[in-house]
Amino acid sequence: MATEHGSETGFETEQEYVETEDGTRRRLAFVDRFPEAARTARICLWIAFAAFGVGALFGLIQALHRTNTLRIIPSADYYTILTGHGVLLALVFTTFGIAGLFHWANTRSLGVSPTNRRLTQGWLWTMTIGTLLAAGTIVAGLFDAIPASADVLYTFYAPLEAHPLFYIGAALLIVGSWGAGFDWFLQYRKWRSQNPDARIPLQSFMVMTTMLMWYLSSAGVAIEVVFFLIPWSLGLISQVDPLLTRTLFWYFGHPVVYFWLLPAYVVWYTVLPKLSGGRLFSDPLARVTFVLFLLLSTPVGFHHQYTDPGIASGYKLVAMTNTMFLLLPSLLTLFTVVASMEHGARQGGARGYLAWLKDLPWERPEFSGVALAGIMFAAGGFSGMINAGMNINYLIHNTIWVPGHFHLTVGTAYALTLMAIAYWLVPQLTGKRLQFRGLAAIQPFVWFVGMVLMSNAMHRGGLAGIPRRTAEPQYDQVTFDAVVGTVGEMRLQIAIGGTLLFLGAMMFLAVMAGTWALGKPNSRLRVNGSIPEPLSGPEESPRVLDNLKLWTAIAIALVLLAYGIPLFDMVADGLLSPGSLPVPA
Amino acid sequence: MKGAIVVGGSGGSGGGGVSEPDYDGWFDDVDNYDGTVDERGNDEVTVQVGVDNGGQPYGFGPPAVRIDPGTTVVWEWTGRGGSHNVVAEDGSFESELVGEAGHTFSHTFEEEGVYKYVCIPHEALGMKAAIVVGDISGGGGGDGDGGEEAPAEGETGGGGMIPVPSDFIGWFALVIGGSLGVAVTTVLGAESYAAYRDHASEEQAYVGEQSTEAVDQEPVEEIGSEYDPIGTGALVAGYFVLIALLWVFMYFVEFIGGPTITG
Amino acid sequence: MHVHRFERLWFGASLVLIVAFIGTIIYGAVGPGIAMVDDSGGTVEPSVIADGNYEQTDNFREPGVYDTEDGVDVYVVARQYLFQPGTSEPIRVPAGEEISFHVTSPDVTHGFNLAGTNVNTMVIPGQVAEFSVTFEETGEHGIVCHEYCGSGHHTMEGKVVVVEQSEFEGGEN
Repeated sequence: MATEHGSETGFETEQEYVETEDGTRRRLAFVDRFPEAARTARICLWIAFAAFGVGALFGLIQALHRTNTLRIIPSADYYTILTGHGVLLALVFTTFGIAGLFHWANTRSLGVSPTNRRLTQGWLWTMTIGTLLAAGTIVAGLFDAIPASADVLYTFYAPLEAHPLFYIGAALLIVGSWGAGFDWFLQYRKWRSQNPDARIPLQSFMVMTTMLMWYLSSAGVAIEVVFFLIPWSLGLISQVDPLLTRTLFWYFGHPVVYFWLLPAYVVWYTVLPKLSGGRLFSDPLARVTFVLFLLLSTPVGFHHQYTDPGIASGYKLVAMTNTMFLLLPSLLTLFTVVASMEHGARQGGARGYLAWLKDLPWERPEFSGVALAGIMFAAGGFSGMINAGMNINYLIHNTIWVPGHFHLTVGTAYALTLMAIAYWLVPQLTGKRLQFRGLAAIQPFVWFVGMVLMSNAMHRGGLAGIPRRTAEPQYDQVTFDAVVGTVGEMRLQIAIGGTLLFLGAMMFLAVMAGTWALGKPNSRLRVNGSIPEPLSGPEESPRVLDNLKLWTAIAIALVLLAYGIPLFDMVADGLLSPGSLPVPA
Repeated sequence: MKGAIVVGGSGGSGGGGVSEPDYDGWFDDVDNYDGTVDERGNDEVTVQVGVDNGGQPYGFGPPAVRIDPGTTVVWEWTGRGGSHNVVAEDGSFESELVGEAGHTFSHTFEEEGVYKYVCIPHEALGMKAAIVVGDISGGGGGDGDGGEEAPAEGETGGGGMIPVPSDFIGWFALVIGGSLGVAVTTVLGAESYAAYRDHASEEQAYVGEQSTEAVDQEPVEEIGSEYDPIGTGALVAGYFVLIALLWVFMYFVEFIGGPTITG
Repeated sequence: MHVHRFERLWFGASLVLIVAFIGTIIYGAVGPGIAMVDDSGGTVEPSVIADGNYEQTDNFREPGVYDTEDGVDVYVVARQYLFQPGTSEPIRVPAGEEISFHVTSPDVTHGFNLAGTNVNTMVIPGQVAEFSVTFEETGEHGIVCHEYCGSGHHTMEGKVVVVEQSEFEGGEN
């Protein structure tokens, strides 16, 4: 049944059908062509959704606790919940969701099955065991009887110390993701041997550039964890340099947000145009965008350390300039994606400057979710520009503005896109028709409204100087003066917004659970996986865009320029000094 | 980390007959509190500062001690848990804030009563204690410094918390959130029920259909690559103006008014 | 490579925006003089601060406010879960004069932010954060620790009180 597939561009053109059990025909779905890859992608998504459910519950507890609305935990346990929320959503939900999505995208666009079953099982197990270790250690912190905890938040700055199992789990999760990337590169190599002269199919191109960026950047956190934090938490070395380990973390900490975001871009570029009824506006610009992300994502980490002592202003200035140029691919994406949607609406007969917007299929959750995520990202883009603004950043650094920002980016651009695309993708991965479609249709709007309430209040709270990462809304010696609105009204919006977001998460999980439990396998699906050719195809773009070795080499050179001297400075006064002894969290 | 001291009554050398004083919830969030240690009959009593309290070095050891009037209590720093101090709730004694092991501070209790004290930096973590001076027992007893002082606003830790909103905003949020929750749950429930009920028939109907939704709709008019996305142009131009204005707004919030960091 | 003319326009507009952002930021640094916290404060072994051996360092002093000929210096130790000075007694500084803050930590990473202003720095063990502020008006500013530093993090706060020059006692010398 599985046919070799994929035209020069990797976009499907053929129409193939398969007999269903009841004797009718249905369109060939991904699960029919690549049952093994579909299974792997499914497992990744189920684990991602499970982490999402728990993380969402932790989020609700926090939103209600820190707004002083409803308190079911002592304030000291708030940070355990916060660590769980951050790790489960920002590390587990993302990494597994991305693995599932990329496994599908790479296999679909290359039309080649994964080459080595043992490798696939290996990375899947490594990531799963890592997740269980890290999450288990965090949750153990809630129980006095278990002598392990990891209340260090997902940034785990030394010298706050977690149990060694937490660091080992985090390392396994990352190493597992490297294995997944290796799996996808082997697939590409097999495809290349069969298609020596073809352009790399767009989705595969995106998967590989993202993974190259991921290899380059996650090396930083791997070094931090494996060479410093694990030996230190085991007592093999007595002290670590807090600034050095922190710098290694942020070397990884900014590219990781693009690792979260680029899967959303994959969907926006390749699936959203089709869902709008149109075609991608420009394939070459999509490639340019991803190349720019590969080049510029990593040498910008110092913009998370604008307020750090011990780092010369010059390095911060370089990071600021790089970061600002990193706006370019996102601004280009804005244009290409919106133009692709407009193309779809106009093909449906829409007219006028903006009237076409209402002709888009807002009643279909796979479209509305992805589109709303994009709108939110445009807003999050602005607060990101402020974060990047070096001295402007000083006003809002480590205030609640920052979580306000990343709940728009990873918390909506990534999360809502993944949820919405699951409504489209999970049927193709399972062969089951989506259940509870009415519920699915309103879910993206519930999430959108919840996020508008919560995030605008968080941003304004940040302007008033309200800190992030605190269990308490009020301080004895400090008053927060709101620039816009009042502090009480902000708290109210955060509490209501957080509650709506939790409900949105539960609605999504209900749809997924319903589809899993009630959907019959081998049904005729309401969706199909075909993706039309772009308006402007890859053949018009220079071939050098596909030269991944060249771009990787330039990316490494840029990283050396941005990080070489500062890291040398930090290491020059002793690898482990000025050093701190562990302080158990 | 909190503690309290009860100064024993005149008649009280013997011991028996005293019950736990009424601490009024003082030790609710103090994990290492396990009853009041009777040290009556000693002229000098030592309390350690920085002992294990629920897994963290933020405790007084022992947290509750009963002594005779005229006894000197010596606090001795263990050096664990950073810097601590010993500060009476009623202000009758206060030590310096120090961290070094071996440091001591002492105070002699003459008056009968319950003297509650804390380490200020770690009070919220339950570093609280008390000295009971004399034979004060539960119920009646005239404690030294009257009733419980209202805990600091930021301090709401502790196990037995009742999950109720603490102010108007909280109630308002709870009511709104609650009704939204009920509304959405109703929709969810109805939808689930309907989906479940119609499941079989819907499946049958869908299977019977000849045309399949899974085929993409043909475009009403095929538009090629030469079209001008004017709507997109308008939207991105609007976005450009909006972020430029917001940038200027942030610039003013940042640099106009208030002290400013200058390197 | 075919690029639609609208897209070329937008590409140009994006570049203008980016360059304008960079320009305003650099102007903010050069014009109003919003400087960055940098490595000028030097390093110090956290254990020396933890043991209170301030005399062993040449870039840090016993916590407190110092009025010297060169201006007012404020040395602050941020530790679990207090600012010293700042928490138990407020930091008193005069208005209209440049105040140099020197902040470090003996234990874990903390933050030091005067709420609602851009007086904001990380406090990292081993590093001395050095920055200057001129308070034009008298009044009070709350200090918040904005980096998670342990289970008592939310209790870590303090206060800066800005007084008239004439009321400023001068601190230690």
